[in-house]
Amino acid sequence: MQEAYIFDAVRTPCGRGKVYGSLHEVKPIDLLCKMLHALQERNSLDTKEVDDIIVGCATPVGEQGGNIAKSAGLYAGWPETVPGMQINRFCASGLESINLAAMKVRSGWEQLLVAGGVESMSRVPMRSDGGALYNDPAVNSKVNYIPQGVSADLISTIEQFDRTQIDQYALQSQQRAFHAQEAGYFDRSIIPVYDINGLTILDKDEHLRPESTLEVLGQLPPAFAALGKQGFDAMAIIRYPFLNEIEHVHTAGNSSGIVDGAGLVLIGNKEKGEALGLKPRARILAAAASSSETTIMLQGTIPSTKKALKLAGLEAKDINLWEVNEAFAAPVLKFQRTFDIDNDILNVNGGAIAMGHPLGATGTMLLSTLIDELERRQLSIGLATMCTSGGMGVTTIVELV
Amino acid sequence: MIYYKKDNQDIVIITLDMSGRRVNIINHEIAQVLLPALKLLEKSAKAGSLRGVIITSAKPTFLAGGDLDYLHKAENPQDVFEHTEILTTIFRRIEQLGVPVVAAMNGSALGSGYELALACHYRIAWDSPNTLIGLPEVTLGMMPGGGGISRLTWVLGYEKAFDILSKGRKMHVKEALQRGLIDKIIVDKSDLIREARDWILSEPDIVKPWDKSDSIPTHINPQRLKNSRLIAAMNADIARKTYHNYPAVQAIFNAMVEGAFVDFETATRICSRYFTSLISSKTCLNMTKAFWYDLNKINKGASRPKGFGRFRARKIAIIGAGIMGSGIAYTSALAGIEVVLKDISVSIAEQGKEQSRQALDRLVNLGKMTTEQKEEILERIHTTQHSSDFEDCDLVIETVFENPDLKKRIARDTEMHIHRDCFIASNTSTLSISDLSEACAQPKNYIGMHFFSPVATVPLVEIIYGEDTSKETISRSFDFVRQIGKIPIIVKDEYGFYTYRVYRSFLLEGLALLQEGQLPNAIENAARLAGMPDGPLALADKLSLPKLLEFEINTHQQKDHPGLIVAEKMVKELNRKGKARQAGFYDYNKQKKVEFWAGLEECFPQDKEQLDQQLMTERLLFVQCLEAVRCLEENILQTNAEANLGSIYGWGFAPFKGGVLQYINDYGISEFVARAQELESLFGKRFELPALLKEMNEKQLNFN
Repeated sequence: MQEAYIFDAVRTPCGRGKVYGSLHEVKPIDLLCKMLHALQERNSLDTKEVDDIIVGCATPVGEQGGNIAKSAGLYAGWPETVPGMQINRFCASGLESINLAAMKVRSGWEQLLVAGGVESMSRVPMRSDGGALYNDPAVNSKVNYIPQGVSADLISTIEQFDRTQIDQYALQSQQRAFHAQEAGYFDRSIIPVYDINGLTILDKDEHLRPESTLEVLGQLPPAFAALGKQGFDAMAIIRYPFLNEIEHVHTAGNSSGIVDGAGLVLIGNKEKGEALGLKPRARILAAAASSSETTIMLQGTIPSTKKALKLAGLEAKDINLWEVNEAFAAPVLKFQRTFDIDNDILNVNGGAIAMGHPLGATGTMLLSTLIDELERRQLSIGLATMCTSGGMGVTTIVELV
Repeated sequence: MIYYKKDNQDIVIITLDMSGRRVNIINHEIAQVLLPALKLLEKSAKAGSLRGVIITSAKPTFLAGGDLDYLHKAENPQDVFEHTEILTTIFRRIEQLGVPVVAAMNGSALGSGYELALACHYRIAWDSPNTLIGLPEVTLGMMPGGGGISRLTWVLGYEKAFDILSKGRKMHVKEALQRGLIDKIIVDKSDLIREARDWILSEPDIVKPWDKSDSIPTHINPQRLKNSRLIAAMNADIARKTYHNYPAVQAIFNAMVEGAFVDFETATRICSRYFTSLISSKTCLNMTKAFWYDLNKINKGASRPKGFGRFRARKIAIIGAGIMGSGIAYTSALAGIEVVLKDISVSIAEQGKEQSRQALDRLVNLGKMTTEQKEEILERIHTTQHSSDFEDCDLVIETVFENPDLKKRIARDTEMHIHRDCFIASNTSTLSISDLSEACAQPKNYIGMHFFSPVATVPLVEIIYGEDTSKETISRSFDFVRQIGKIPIIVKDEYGFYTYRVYRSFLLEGLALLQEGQLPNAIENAARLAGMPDGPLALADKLSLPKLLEFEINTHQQKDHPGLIVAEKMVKELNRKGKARQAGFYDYNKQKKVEFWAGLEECFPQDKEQLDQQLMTERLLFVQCLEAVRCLEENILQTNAEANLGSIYGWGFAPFKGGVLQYINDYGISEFVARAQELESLFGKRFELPALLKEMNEKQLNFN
């Protein structure tokens, strides 16, 4: 059987996902094209050897719709013989695309793929695509689907994380991310975004708030209390009747930021890598998706991680570094508790609370950060996992070669 | 500098008056003086001591546009981008001043000059025949950079805005009003400021639509199905019209659509980025070179003989009221010249005058002219059948058939009826002026004027001087051509002159490709994709194949040219002589679509090896460039400028390449030389390098 190797990983910096964010002026297809060009240039890649381009996107409509993977391949000037497909695993799309590419390689039917994700949240806002889970009353009421922020508050209520614990985690994310940015830990993967004239639009993540303090964070109002009151708290309690009320602890400061960005990785088998002079950086040990209860939603990482560990024949203690997406603080803390993870090896360079969560692209960015950090620390095995809407979870385990 | 005057109603009049310039332009200087003035205005507006602002000019024009010299030389994109963003910000601050700002346009407002007016809340223009409004950037391969694209898109919608932006036509105030570019016209210039003041005092709504709401209005929202279909169709239309050869046209449309996905500030920044990219593009360089620098050089008289006073024709005569003669009569009458239009009978001459009437009627119907103006112009055309009516004319232009004996006879007859200072011009495309002038008593007063059809729209006239033509006659001809608003190029009397000689090399190359067995469609499309107005086979049909042969017979230039084999076979064996005979490479049957003649494939069988489109394109263009260089070498022409514009306006050489010689610059002279040598080794001596080109390459010179 073929092993799947990661040869390279690139990502854009994350721009604030607002009208005033630096990447607002950049179309999602351009973000993606720039990453395709970066992979091509950095690896002197003979692009006609690429079997497929898989791009994840959580809101695949409008400028992000219409199969942005194939569109970007053509627009980037890649050979017309290279196909492309767009996938949607909600927030885990950018990790799922990598897993899918790895599975294709391991099947032996394909040799070299580009996988990743893109999301311009400032241009194509969340839920622009509607969808039955949220917008169809018949579906929504049957599956008891609630906004994710309320789900995060539901987790913290059940797990009894208090506001300080949650904010403490957020502060750590800010501090770690800022340290990593200052120390240049992200530099290997970040490709600055230039305009058509070669002028820099953005060259580093701009969502960070290094000036954050526990005090400032503590003063932020709960972001999902109003939603809860509208009836979503009640929906949560219908599913979790042992609770009396939902304690709303998540704020703009301890939830992931809304940002724009894209990332891609180059994946293939050993033979193809050798033929093209590509140096493998990491081997994908396991890839898994799973799903859990829908209302609490953000705990899908737990079954998907268990599944992945089992596939890899590993135990949690074998993992040297963990990247658990910081959609909100509570799901990360819950995950940490479940697998009993030492704080020193979990999200060591911060995460989406500090840097932002460009939905469909985050998984790819997480994996590039993980590999970069494993290399920097000269460690071996890392795990990246993401929770998604609908209760799903996706996990990838890599080992440096 | 600018004048800043506040009146007792708290209305400030800003008067633009740049020092040392005939016109106001938007450059670094004006940004430097506008910014402090703007600061002052913002301060007074905030303090409540400003009721409104009127912007006007002390020059005959309002504001002429951007600083082309700066843009043409600019090399650093960062500088261009910042310059553009400064301009955009100034316009934006004017728009958001919080009090009404009126553009009181006392004259033309073009390019960024009009963009300034567009940023104001109200635009009043003085209705003078000299006042022109428009955004002509695209004609130089650029686009408006000050946010005007976003403003027009919001206000006019995609179709109307793109029509204005992509054509770049300068229009008179009535049309500008009708198209929504200005808000009011005044007839009396002295009313300008009063009107502006009245509007300010009327407490108008001055919040621009894009500042009223965050959301993109439905009429331009690209995400609406209706608009997305329109956008796709408009984009396809761009491809149809430009073959992707005009990046500015595409950039304008991109900026319009991309701007409609985002807020106004981001939209204008997207425009600035596209603007910057165009400024450093080859196409912009080529088009600015041709349509600004070369054109100005010609019009300023680089080739006009020195030492002769400016000639102005008061009255001219035209012999022959056919298509060309009546076209020249119309164009001259439009320019204010009295015209005697002579033919063998008054009724035939009247038929020629009727052409002018019809053309003027169209202008009246389009609202571009009044009936009175039309009648006034028509009254200038006097029809006659008598040469005696030439007696008080300053110039007689003969436009009869290309028959040397007839032309000679007319020249002799004309000389007997004109005064001493009058000169005679023959409209001919190939006949030797020196030969024709042999019949004249005063050959020094005899010259060639090669007009192109349709005269009213083709802006070029080839002036051909014979052996005996005096310098004075050349300079007067030059002045006359300028007087009727056309571009004169001065050409030596060699067979084919300049335009036809080079043009035929293109046609013959197309025929050569056919001889080699290339697919006719592929040949035609290679030329169209290269930016030529049509395929060489279609154009050869239009010219007529015997005429194409005639040149080669008369000059014995390239007897072994493979294209000649095709022409000879078509004319002599197949009796397919071209469009006039309804049978050439194409079949011309009025009842049917024009299609390639069915026998073509049998006569010129398809070669198994089909050439690359790029190679065909290069061959079709290279032959023209090489022939043009030979003309320069042989002193057929004096300047590169004339060679460039002569090629664009004379036979439609790709305008985006800036003409035949600028194409060589664009290609890179050493690359061009190397490629020509390859082509010579593959396809023969017609690609041989002229010595001049070799020499220029060695000295690393360009065709400046």
